[in-house]
Amino acid sequence: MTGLLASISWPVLDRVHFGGSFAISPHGVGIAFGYLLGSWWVLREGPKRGLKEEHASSILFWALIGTIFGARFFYVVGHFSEFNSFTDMLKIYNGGISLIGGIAGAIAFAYPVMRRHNYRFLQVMDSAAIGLPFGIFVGRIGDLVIGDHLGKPTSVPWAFVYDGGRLSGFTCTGRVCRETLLPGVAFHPTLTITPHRATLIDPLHGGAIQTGVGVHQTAMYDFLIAATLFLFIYLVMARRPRREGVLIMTFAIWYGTGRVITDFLRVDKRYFGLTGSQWSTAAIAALCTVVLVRWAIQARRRPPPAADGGGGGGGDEKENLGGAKAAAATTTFTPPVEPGGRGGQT
Amino acid sequence: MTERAQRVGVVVLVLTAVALVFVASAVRSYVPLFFVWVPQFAIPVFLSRAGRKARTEQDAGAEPPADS
Repeated sequence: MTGLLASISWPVLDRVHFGGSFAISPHGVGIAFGYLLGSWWVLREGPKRGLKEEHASSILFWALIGTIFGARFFYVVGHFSEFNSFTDMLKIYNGGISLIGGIAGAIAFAYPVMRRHNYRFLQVMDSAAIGLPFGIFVGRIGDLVIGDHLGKPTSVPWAFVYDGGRLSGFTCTGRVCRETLLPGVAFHPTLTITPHRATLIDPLHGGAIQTGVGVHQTAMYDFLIAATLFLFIYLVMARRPRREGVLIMTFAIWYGTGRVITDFLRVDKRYFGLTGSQWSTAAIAALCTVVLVRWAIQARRRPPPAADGGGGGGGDEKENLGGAKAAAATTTFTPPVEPGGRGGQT
Repeated sequence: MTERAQRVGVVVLVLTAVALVFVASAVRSYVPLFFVWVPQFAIPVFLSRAGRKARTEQDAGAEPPADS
């Protein structure tokens, strides 16, 4: 009965071949498109927050380098036991990257550029708050095409049912695909997927741990989370000026919470019960929640501005400077400081 | 084009992109998945054109009379 309801299914395509020796992965194309379109949003939103277009381009360039480095680095750290040599770790074209690592790497590489041009961290990150979920929304299509991030077996109506094609990372014979999950770890279950059944097998006892008509397609969940988050930030949050940092923290809380939930549906290496992505996103989401709640409490405690009709913006000199400390005292929009306004611009 | 019309346009394009994933499942083919990128790419194109049009209209409206 549940098998009849399972409706998410298509044959997967791991590579698009051109001739005999050249092939492109839709996964890589998706990531490239995602970065490209996400960057477009940064170039659109940046000037509204005081970023010069050429500086935004420079930040995006270094962020791209950082994304590639961070995405691979985090993956290698998280799956260290799967690599036999250092050369294997460098073979990024064989697959294996981490989205959270990519974001972390982008921030790490772009931060010195932001500071060199005298931008505040949250000023730049708010400019990326629409582009980030949009980039994920675009990039996840590649995962859907290749059938990446398949999770635990399930019989829910939206289970992903295998319908042919070579699943990335799996060994497929006919229409039966097998993958040994968590190689190098003591407990390494095998996931067997056929068009009718998905089974997670215990390697020690040979019995089924979990079965279902299909598996959780966690990349699709991520795709939907990113789409709704993009719409929420674009339609609701960015509609009116908000305190610097609110947009990017909204992204971090929403996306981080989503990843914590969906990662429970994946079969991945866990450290004290959670995956590496869950630990990092949970920590960031919790931190951002604390900061936003603190800001909201501060805003409530703050006496309302005197209705004197003064045109000076109702603030002291510090507030007019738009500095980070001054901004912390208000929930009203602080106009971004023109780069170079504080001197020292290079 | 009003800002409201731009927002409606973006929502329609996002929903089209999401719907194409379900079309792929309905027709049991990965081909519609490649077409998801079409509405996604259309969003920047649509907003850029709408923005350009709005600026042109604004400039035309703010143009000072010839004799001033």
